[in-house]
Amino acid sequence: MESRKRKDGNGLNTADVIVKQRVGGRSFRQILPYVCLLPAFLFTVGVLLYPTLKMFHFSFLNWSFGRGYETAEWNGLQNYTWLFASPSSTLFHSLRLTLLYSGVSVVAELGIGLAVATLLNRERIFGRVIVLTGFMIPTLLMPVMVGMMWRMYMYPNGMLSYFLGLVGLKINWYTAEWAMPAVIMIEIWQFTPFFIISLFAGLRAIPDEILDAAAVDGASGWNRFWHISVPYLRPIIVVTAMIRMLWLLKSFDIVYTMFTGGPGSATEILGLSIYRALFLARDIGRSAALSVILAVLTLIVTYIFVRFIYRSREAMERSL
Amino acid sequence: MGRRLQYFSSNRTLLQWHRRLDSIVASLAVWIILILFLAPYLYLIVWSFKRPGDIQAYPPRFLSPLTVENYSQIFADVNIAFFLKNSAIVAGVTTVLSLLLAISAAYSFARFRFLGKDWLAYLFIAIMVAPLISLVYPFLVVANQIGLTDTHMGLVLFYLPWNIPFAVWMLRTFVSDVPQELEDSALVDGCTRMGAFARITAPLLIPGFFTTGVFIFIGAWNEFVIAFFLTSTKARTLPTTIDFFLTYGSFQFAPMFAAGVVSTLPIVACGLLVRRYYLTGTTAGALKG
Amino acid sequence: MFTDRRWIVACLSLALILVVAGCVPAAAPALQEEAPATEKFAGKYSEEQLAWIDEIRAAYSGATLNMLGFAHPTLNAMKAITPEWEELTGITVVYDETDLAKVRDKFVLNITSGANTYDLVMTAEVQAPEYWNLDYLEPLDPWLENEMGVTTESWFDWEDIHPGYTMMFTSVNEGTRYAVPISGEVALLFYRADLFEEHSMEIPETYDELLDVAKFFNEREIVEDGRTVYGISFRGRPALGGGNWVWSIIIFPFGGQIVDLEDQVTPAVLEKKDAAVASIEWETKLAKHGVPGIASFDPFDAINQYKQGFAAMSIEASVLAPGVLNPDESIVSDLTGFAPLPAGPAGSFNQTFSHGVAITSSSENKEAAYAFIQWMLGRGNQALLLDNGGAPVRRSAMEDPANQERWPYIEATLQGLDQAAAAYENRFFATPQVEFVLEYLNVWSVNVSRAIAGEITAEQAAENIQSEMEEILAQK
Repeated sequence: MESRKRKDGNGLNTADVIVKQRVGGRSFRQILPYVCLLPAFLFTVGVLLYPTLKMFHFSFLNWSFGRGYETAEWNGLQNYTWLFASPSSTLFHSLRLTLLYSGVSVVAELGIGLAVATLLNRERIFGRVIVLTGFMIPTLLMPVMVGMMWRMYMYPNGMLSYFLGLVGLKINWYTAEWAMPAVIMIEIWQFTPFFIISLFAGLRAIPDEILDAAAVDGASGWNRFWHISVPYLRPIIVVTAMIRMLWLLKSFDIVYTMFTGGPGSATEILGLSIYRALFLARDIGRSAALSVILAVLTLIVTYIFVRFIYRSREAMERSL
Repeated sequence: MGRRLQYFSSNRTLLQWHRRLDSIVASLAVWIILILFLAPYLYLIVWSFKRPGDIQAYPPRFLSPLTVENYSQIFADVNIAFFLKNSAIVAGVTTVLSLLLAISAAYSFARFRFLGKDWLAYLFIAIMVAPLISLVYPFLVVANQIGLTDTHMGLVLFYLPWNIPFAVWMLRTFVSDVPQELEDSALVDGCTRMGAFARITAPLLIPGFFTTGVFIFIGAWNEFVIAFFLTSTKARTLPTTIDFFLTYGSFQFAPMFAAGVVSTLPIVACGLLVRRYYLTGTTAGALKG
Repeated sequence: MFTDRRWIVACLSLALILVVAGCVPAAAPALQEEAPATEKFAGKYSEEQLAWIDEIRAAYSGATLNMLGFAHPTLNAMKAITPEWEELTGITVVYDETDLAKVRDKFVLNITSGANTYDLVMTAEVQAPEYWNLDYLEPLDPWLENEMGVTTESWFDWEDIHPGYTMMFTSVNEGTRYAVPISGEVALLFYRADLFEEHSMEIPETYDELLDVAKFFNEREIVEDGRTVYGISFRGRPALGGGNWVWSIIIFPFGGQIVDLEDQVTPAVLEKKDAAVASIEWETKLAKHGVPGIASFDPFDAINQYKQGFAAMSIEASVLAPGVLNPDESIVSDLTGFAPLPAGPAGSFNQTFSHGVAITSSSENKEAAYAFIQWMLGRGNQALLLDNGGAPVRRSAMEDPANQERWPYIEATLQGLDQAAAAYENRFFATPQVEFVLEYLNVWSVNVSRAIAGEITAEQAAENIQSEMEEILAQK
């Protein structure tokens, strides 16, 4: 069946043979994949490598923001030891909040996104195109604007509180226990569409024959979804979730606009700690050290996702 | 549902009714979810036509008189058209360049097998893990040295590295979805590899290009931190203009929301214009058609 | 299957946005009129002023000044009358505008990265000490004392600007002046005159009474049109780029101090520990009698609660009073009274908060920049600035009966200013004038906010403030 063969589209088989046929040179065949990577590589690593290395370098310095580079002193590992050991450091508090914030957001966005994309992919939906374009709109708004807008809605006496009050719910988003759910809710509102649209595109790419065959075999809707659609979608799910996770771990504008880390320190995620350390504590070294910690955390999390991609691919290959 | 579908399938009319009901229920559900998602934005539009006092009032004044003053204010006083133009240039160029630069890498990852492939793919993610705020200072120093502060090209240069990896990873999955056999047959027919890609694969990738491109465009359109520090007056983009409305002593919500609406409408219009490329014409659809 | 048409449509639609955006007329470049007749302004300016203008024109016409500012009513007024300045002198002024919270980040990064772009910068009182300690600002004294290229005319009149404002931009130890104030504020007590009358409450004269009044209104649970009226509203957010505003005002009346009064650097919160703890405790209690969520309110949130009738009182800045009096924005515009802040156990002290314009030390157009400041902010042009929405900072303007009628809160403001100026004479500065002022402010901003949110006790907050400030100082 053609569609079955497509699954190994991740590129394992015929390419080698064909390059050999067309070009003939063994060396060219070997470097071609690398040559193809070059443009993207240049404009990504080329631009970011120096600033990233600088960030590493700065994390070992004692250097006040605002003073010239010549005033910076080598500080060894002290920035790190301070962050991990000092009682005034809020590193672990921030780490916990960051993971909570990004984890809950990604899972909720993915869940809602998958559900809506599946609904949208049903046979006949009235105004499907309009609905899809409509779903883009929250993502289009500038983050600062989103923050200001939701501030107006989430006021102790804003519109949202008004409507919740009508159904008898009294939630004050400005208090310590509700501030975090509030920002997570805004993230979900703004970025679920990213999943809806990406996953919808993925669902449309599933060949009808597979689903039809399954239907003829008597598989229930839920079974078809779980055993055919989801495995098929897995690469796009993992890629979108990974990219979204990457954004979320580093995000700070919505929290900044809504609560600037407050009340108290209830929403002080790492992105905000970095901002605070750089611009308010004026400590370039410590803020760079925090950034390095965040970068390592992000590396670990994305690496898990990447392993997951490869594992799912291998599993697919084995099942063939 | 499927089982019931089986059960009724002996009776054609019932099946038809069932299908119709199914599509009505699903459509209704989707529309309700959409309206829930859009409600805050739709009311933002209403707000942008209200007088400042009515926005802040409690209980909410749903039926207060409307005015277009906010819009005339942002076009006359803030000259938002200028910032719209800057944003369009920067986001447009970033999108096109990111896709062009990313496609060959995406193709390479999807089609070839080579040493260190997985690690190189991961490198594209790994290079982006540094938080933006810590990179701003080196960015500024570099931009000063090569004279790119407050220019469109400067912004594009620093937007590319965040968007290319995204494009590489997204496009990679889309390229994988195009059957290898199609390309192979073109090669057998005497095409070069480039030719096979351009004539067979690229057209099938159009939905992928659009889905990816739309998000790159939005990202660049909305980017704040780099734009804030790297521009001042000449290349300033839309998101940084929100500051104009955070006047000390009174935030001017009404014109700010008008600016928000103005900043989203061009993209919504664009999205509607090109919708059939990223929404309807998917790979599978193209194959079947 | 694939035609070029798809690509064409795609490209066209992209081009369309570019064109649509491009077609909308961009900023019309300021037209440089040929030889503007000084006679045109003959009636408006005195002979003396016109002569000075001619001098400036002859020397610096054609220069361009870049000014970094933050969105502010006075900046808008300045922008509105800048064309007149450009016509008079031929010096162009380009404004780069952001908001108060971010202007400093942009300015400092701009300078440290070696860009050297701005001639003039707008600064808040909490930002200025950092700038001048890092030598970012040009000292104004040589200019004011006529030692530089541009003369200071009598119609500029520095002395007329209220000392409560100018002292914010004067280094307390050296007496060097760095910025010309363009607006400022003191904390006022906004109160609902109607509610006070109805419940026959007196305007509180001490902070304890204020607490009692807030408690009284809060427990009364007054409901108006479906809204509950709470006792009070004020800001308690861990502000970025500012301390805990209320605490920095009440610490001195409570008899406490933040830094040592003599050197203005050494942390000395615990030296008067009881007062420090009492003041934080007071603020925490007050928040309990206020609108829920005070720990995350910024000034805008705080005043909006009051404007929409959710609070019987508010401790807020005088600069927010116009909004309260504007019936379009506020439902309590006719019902509000203004009073100076009450007295604490240690007496009546107030603090001012001010914004000013300074010349950057890296500017290459200092003469033109100074001339611009002088024209724009001098007494000679004051009426023009005020009529275009500027804020009064000069004693002459604030004591003018016509202006007192125009702005009903100006009288209470003037009282607060005089109190503040007296406090400054005794070196009671809530804004330590050190390079790391923002680090200090950040410490008490976060800790007081945490105390209000109930994360730590008042005593812990006071101890944290002291120890964290000491840690900062030790690093320097």
